[in-house]
Amino acid sequence: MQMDVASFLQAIEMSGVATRIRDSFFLFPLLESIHVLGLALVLGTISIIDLRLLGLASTQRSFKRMESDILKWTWGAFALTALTGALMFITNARVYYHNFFFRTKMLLLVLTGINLLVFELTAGRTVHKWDNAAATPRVAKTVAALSLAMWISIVFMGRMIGFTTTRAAVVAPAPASVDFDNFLEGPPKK
Amino acid sequence: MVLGSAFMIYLRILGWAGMDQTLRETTSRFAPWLTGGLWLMLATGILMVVGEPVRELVTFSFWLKMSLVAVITLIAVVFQRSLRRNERQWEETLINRGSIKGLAILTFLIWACIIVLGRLIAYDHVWGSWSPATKA
Repeated sequence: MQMDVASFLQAIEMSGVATRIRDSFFLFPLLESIHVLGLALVLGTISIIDLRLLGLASTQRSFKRMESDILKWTWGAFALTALTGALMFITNARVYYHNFFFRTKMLLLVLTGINLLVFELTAGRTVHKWDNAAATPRVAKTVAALSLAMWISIVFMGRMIGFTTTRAAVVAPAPASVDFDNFLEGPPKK
Repeated sequence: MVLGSAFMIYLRILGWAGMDQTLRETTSRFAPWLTGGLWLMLATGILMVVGEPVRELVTFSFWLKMSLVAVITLIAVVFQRSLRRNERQWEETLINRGSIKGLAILTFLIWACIIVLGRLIAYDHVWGSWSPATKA
């Protein structure tokens, strides 16, 4: 079984798409950027919902109204991050697969899914009772607090994957041609 | 935080979300978060530059990004001031104008560029000879 995973990881790493991204000058940075754009929107829009559930913001607005307004954008942004994340994963699958931060991040993503499911099965079913109220059921508050904590951790883990899987960042010395004393005076005169 | 807040204001201007709220209600809900987030990023950003001044300052991406941050901050200030002074005009006519909606999309694209450039600070070689780091 272990062997199967290893050969599977190797196979996706050797795939045409993965090779194409690895060989490209700008594709990986571009994927990273879109990933960051998407995650900023995911975290931003989820926070709006979570803060409403916690009773800390937008408390005068209908929860259902906000949910139908906002969650479609959250899902769209999430799809974008999942796609770009998967494309980055396949370029170096064997390394990411064994990385502690990657595994923790995937675990947290699963937990946020379960958290969402818990909400839908509990407070989500009684939403008609508290839709316009500032006070939400205790389970909704708990779910929201967990959601915020987990999403912030997910962003942190993601950043750590970058720090721990690529080559160690060597602080390069300043290029000799850069004159820090006259930094804004344009390029050095030869 | 910042992008999420800005995003909600754009969606309201475009009429794609929050239509149960006036523009003013939307901005007073989200603008404080936007401003607070910008200050937070300024503080952590300065710490990052102080930590690795060479890596940051010797890149084309960094300076282009800072220029765009200045532009977007200016747009945000002008927008909020104008909304405060001409609230009725904004709610009744300006918000329906195509040019204003176009401007909203354009500003969102500036945000996207800022994010891309931020990531590109680590990959400044993509700029080739424009990057001071490659002139070593």
